[in-house]
Amino acid sequence: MLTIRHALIVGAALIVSGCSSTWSTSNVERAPGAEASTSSDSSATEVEATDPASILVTKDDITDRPYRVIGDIEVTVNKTTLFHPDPTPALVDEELREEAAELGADAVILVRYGTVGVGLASWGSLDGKGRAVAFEE
Amino acid sequence: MHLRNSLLLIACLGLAACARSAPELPVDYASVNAQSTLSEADFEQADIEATCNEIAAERTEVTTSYDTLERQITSSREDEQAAGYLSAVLFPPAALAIPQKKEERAQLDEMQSRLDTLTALSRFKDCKQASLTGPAPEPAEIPVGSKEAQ
Repeated sequence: MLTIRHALIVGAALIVSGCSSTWSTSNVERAPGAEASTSSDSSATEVEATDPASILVTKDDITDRPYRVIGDIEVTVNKTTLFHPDPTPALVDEELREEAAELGADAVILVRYGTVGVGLASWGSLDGKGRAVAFEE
Repeated sequence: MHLRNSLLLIACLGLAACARSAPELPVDYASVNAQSTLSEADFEQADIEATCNEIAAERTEVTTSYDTLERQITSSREDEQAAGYLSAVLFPPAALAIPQKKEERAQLDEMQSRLDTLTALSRFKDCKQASLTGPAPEPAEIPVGSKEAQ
C-alpha cells in the first residue's frame, strides 16, 4: 500500500514538474593552464562571462582564427517525464552555449552528440560534447 | 511483488532503447595552448598522400552517411518506444525482440572517429576551409600621405 502511495506521489511530482519538458546535467573539464580563478587568488584574472547567444557552436574545427582551449564540456539533456518529447541536438547546443558562456568562451567546436534513448535517470536522454575555446587577438 | 514488476518493466524498457553516449573529443593539437602536436606518424600512409580536395570530398561523404544513419535511428525510436511500453505491459520478455541497433550505433562512432581523423589531417596538411567565424576584420584605413601609405 505504501509502495503505491509513494509511486503516486512520485508520479504526481513528475507531472507537476512537467511545466519544464527537460532538465540537464553538465560537466566541464578545464584545459591545463585554464583552471578557474578563485576570489582568494588576487593574481588570477576573473573570467568574464560571454553572452550565450553570441557563442558559435559547430561540429567542425575553426581553422581561420587562432584560439585557446578553455575546457571540454559535456552536457546531458533529459526529458522530464515519459510523456514529454525527446531532447534534440538543438537543446544540447543550447546547454553547451550556456556552459561555454560561463567559461567566457567565444565558441564551442568539434561538437558531437549521442543518440536519444533511455538513460539512468530519464526515459529520454541525449548527451553532447564540445570544446570551449576563446579566440586569440 | 509490485517492486519486482516495476523493476522488470524498467529493465525491459531499458533494454529496448538505451541511450548512446557522444563519442569522446579528440586530443587538442590545434590551439595555442595545445599539449600535443601532429606528425606524419599519426596518420595512415594513404591519408598522408590524399589531397585537400580528396579530404574535403571524403568529409562530405562521411558527414552525409552519418546524418542519414542518425536520422534512421531517431525515426525508428518512436516505434521502438511504443513497442517497448506495450511489451512491458503485455509481455515483458517481448522487449528483448526489439532491435538494439548496436551495429548502427557502432557505425556512428566509427564515422565520428573518421571525421576526427579527417579534421586533423586537414589541419596537418594546412588545407583551406570555409570560414565559420565570418570575414576577417578589415585592416584599419591608413590616411593618405602618412608614412605607412607611402
